[in-house]
Amino acid sequence: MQFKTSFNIPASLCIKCRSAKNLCGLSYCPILVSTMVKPKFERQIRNEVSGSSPPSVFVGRFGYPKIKVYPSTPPEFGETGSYETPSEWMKMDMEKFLSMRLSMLRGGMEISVKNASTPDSKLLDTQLLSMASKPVDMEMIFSKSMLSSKIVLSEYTPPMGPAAPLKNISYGNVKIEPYVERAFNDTDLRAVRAIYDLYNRGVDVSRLSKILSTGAFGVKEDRRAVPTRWSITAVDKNVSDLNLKTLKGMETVDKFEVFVRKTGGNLFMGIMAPGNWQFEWGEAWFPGSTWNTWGSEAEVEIDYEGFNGRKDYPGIGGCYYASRLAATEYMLKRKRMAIPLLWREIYPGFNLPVGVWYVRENLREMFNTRPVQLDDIESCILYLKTQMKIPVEKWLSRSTIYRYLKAGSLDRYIAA
Amino acid sequence: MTALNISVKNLRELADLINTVVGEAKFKFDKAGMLVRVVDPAHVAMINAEVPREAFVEYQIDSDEEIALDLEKLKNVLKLAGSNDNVFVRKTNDKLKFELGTVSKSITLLDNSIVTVPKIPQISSESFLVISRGDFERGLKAAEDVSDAIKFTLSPEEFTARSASDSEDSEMTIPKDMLKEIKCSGTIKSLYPLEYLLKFVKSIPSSETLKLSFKDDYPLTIEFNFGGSGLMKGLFLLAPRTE
Repeated sequence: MQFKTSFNIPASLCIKCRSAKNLCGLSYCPILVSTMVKPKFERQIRNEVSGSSPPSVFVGRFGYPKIKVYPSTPPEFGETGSYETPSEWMKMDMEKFLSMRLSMLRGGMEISVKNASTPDSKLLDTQLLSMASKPVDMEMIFSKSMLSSKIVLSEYTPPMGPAAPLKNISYGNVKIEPYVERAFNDTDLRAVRAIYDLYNRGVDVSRLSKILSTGAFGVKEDRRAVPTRWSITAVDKNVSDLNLKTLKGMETVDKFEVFVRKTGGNLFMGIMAPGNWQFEWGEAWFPGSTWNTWGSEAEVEIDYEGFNGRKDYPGIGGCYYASRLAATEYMLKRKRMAIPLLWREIYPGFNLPVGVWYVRENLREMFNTRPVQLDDIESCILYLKTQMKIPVEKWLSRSTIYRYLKAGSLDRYIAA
Repeated sequence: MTALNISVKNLRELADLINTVVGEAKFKFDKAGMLVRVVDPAHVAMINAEVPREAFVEYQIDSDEEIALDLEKLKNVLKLAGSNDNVFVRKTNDKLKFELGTVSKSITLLDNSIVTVPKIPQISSESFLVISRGDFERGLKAAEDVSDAIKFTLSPEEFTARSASDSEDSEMTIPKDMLKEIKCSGTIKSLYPLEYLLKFVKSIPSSETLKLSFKDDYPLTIEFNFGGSGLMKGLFLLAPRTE
């Protein structure tokens, strides 16, 4: 199996660096990733693979409504759960994360999304697999050799392992929590209801989106397979909507709370302002980061919603709802309504589309830290100004909520 | 003992109106009548409503009284009645009992100390216009899917309400002879959050007229009468948004 990168890095640079200094400017070392992935494929994998699936299923979006579903497994047995658990990925360095994702072998089958309501045995097996609470030992037989598939590390596609068409799949015991299985068997239960009930029982959204993607939830005749990318956002959005229903009517925080989190190549900032629900998520992409390859200066994008939410899909994409979920979770824990302003700066070298989980999990971590409490929005901005790298004016000129907080209250007209 | 009798329509209008900014409210009763003043949690919009005792069919209080209520509960009780009915309300200890013809229902009062009554800001502006609610609402609705803010401009000649985003815009212009009243010497303009205005306007009956006063980058005041007899007096205040 070949391992390729789409970057042209001069060998002289790598020899000087030896993966220690990130001289190439990337936030991870491609050579290190390659050396970590290769041993996993030492056993020549041609037409079959066996291993413990974390469990993992990927649903592609190309060709919708005729799409491909890929159950997948690394070629190893044992506790592979961390291969598929975003909160675990947070504890790893980028190289370890990438090598894990890239070593997942995927067996593809083409289905029509409606097949999910009357699945054949292969699809039914995949639905059950998606619900498993523990790794599942499995064997996949492919109709084409895996050898011809390449592993490509590029700044344009999410890190994914090699794939071949699936001929047959078989596996051992699948452990599913009884309440998850009940939601699958209940063919009158709406998917949104099933998701929120299970979320409240502690099933994480990353699992719920996987189950949703195979079309295992919902009223029987309405069950549909959903491309992974859409299912993640559907779960983030619906769960945060329902969280908000509980929050609306709660008292608001009485001071401004400011949070900061720094990670390799990223800065996350949050202000929880007193007031009734409004929300914004902003991203600043530096030149040389994933989505700002051509620019010469940092580009700021902010999406926003007022008390009654949005009517259209935010231009900024899935991260908007991933961040909205993390914010509502914090507010529910705090039992207080607030106005979250969440901003993220993405620095040069962070140029792999790693997925919205990165935003969700980092913000969850950020909200676990103790905030700085301040009295007004100006003090919050002064504080954040010392943390950020782009000129603060760039953020302020784009932020609707900042303007609102700055001038939008009747308080200053009340005589003391 | 506090006992009141009021038309369901009037009480419903009042509940809908203050419910546009808050979920809980405290009603104050004295010899002159009832007063309720509420502000939304972000302190952007305030409503002050006065219901003189003449607006009640029956108004009996022994001494000044305060009653804090969950508005959703109040609205649910009123749903049981027809618009032309009257409702008889009596306070007993920590409950408020409603009698609606053959049905009676009581709801629990909230602790008076939890629901606070905001102070009223010191706001005054010389310039004003009087406009029908219908005209005003049309201008707001035109802006609804354009932006979340709307800019009002008043000159001695006309009133305009304008909204713009990168790709779309909307504008309503009403010349002075189509306004019911106007007082303005120069040109003034100010930007306001649209959401609050829309919710407010939707909650009042279409037959009413509104008196709007403001000045440059300054809170907006809307004075209006409501309730069947027009006896109930309302005041809506809205903080400006800076550009």
